[in-house]
Amino acid sequence: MKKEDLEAVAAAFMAKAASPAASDHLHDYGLQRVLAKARAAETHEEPAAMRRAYRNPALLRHALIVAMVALLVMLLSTTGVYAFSLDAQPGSTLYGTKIFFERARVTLNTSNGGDISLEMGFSERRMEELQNMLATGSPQEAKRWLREYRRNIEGAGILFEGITVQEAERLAAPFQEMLDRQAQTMQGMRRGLQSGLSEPVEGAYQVCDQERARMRQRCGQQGNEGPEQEPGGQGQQGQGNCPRTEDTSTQEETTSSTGINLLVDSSGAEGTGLPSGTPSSAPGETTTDETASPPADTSQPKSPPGDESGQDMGATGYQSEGPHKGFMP
Amino acid sequence: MKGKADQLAPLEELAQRSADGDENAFAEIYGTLLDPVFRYLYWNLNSREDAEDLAEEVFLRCLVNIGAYDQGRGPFKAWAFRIAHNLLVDHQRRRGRRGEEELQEDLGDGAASAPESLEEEERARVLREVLKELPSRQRQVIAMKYFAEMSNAEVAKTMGRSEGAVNALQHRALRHLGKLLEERGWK
Repeated sequence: MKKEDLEAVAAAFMAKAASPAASDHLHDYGLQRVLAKARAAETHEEPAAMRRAYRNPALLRHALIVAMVALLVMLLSTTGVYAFSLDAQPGSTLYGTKIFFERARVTLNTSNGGDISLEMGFSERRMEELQNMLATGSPQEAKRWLREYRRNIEGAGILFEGITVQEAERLAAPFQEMLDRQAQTMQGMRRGLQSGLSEPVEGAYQVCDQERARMRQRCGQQGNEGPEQEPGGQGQQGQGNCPRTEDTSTQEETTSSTGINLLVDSSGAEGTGLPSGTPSSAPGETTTDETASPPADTSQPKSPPGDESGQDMGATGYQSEGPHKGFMP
Repeated sequence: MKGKADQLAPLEELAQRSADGDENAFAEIYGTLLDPVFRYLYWNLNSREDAEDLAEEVFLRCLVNIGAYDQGRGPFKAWAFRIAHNLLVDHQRRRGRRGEEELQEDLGDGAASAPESLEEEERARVLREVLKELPSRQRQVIAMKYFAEMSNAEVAKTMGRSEGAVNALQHRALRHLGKLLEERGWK
């Protein structure tokens, strides 16, 4: 059969087939049921928009996609602003944003030790900004710069009062080392500065120097000039959270997280060497033999007073572990 | 004075009044579309009971969502059949197609059937058999065009296709149907 004939047969067949209609019951009562159900749906306290959303999953999907895109745009723009603000200098438009993000990071950080590390890193940024201000000769907002520097240094110092011994062990030496370095830098800058910068630099030097003195007090170091060391660590009672070196009766041989044997001979003996049979510990090496007695002597090479060489032993008897340890922002 | 072109078609006007809360307007819509919707569903589902249940659901959805109907996007009949089409697809997905045993034939009030009626019933029985063998889309077009009495444009709007595509689908469906009837000895 031809295609046209097939179609004609089918159409004619259907025209003569009995096609049922809806029952009388549906005609008579169906409408009432529909109206009743519709009224019940309306009285139910569901916002029409929500109903449409539930009945239209595509709408929910669109709303979700829009929300996600908006979130992504917000994240990207915040990240972009943060990245642009990193190089902002005092006096520029984005400097305030840079400081805002620094404060936000400190606020969001959950540990005091972490906050100290952040503040130390930010103080290094202040030093870079200072050098940039000197290089460009533009001391705009030098006062603001000084305010931020003070907040970084003093903030870190205050936080030292509230950290654990372990965190103090980790952070004290780098902190002091950084203070010394910054003080040295600013001392070099003090002479011959233009009037716009001399006051802020002088102010910053005072802040740095005061914090150095406080750290020495915390860690039991005497004197205010340079990183002086007492033989064997004997000296004033330490304050704050620096490890004590005087109380040998309660002292245990411990290994800090940095791997340095912290035990120091409180008798003040210098370089007494180790009893035979005791494994020697080179400075900076870990002594894992906890049964060795008497305790190993980890006396360090002494720095003459006033020696501000790079080998800063720190008042706690640690050997310096290198710059920027533990406070890279 | 408004020209004929400016006057709304009856169903669209009734829909607008229903959206404003006029239950009588909706009752008219119900009366006009109930049989076409029922027949459309019946010839796709092969079950009177399912077709009636679903028809009621179609009108409930129409009434609840009548405020969302936009006459600029197409005729009201196409919009209502779109709802019916979606419900039909959902129903078939959930339950699968049923066998012949679920069909409840309406023989009226038990009165003796005239010969014409017997032939019509026989054709209907054969038609149900052959429609089962058609692909779903072809069956839907046949049901909309020949039992729901919809135009090509309305079918196209309902199925979300162009009129040309619907036309082609219709011809294919009729040829397929004709072939199946020929195999059963109907010419």
